[in-house]
Amino acid sequence: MIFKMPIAQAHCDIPCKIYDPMIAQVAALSVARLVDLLLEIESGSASIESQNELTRLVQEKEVQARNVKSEVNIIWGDYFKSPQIKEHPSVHELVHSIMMCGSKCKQSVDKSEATRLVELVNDFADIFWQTKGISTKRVIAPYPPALVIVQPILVDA
Amino acid sequence: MLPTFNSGDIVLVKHEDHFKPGDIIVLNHPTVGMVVKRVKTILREYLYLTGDNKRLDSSTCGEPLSNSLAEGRVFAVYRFPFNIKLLPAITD
Repeated sequence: MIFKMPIAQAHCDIPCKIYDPMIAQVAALSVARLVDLLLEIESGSASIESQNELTRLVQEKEVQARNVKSEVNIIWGDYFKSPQIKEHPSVHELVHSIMMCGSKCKQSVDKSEATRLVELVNDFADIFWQTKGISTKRVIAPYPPALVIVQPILVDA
Repeated sequence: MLPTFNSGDIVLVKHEDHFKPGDIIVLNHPTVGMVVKRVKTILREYLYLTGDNKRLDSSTCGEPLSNSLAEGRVFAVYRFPFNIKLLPAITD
């Protein structure tokens, strides 16, 4: 090969414009549930079983908080374009708050922060569905920690 | 960019800095690197790109990208082994 040709990508990210904040919402709920489980561990317990469980829960909390940040970033960065931002100028501040709250949830075992993360992601989901002209409803998640989540009101099949 | 391009096609690019909607360009995107896309609209010094494959979405499409990021206009595509197709510039 005498010379190397630069490569230009023509591929796309997402098939058929599939974006859904539910992935971030489930991750945020998982963070809240993991905080609950961490708080249930008997403080001061030095058993190897207890340390094993503690490690697994903390590790998974890191993963789920990172998932929240990643999924929200993808929708904000890839889906939200000028028309949606013009319609919802507060989205930048909201996404930044989610990033900050996600980090706090990683750093701490604070139920109020975890609940706040769920609420912030709910607000983000609400804005997302508004941009698609789809109304939302607030329902109680049918699994622990039974927090309120925002869901789109979709057309019956 | 299907059906215009297949993966592995070699595109020939003419260095230009003035484009028209419909032109296929190579642009050095600040986050994803070199991309080949079609110019959808031009607003002042910003280009809005689109892909030819309508079934797919892309993070590079629909956002304003500075004209200065464009490397040039694709004027031909070579497809292995013996297929070359000219892509004329869009005229007014």
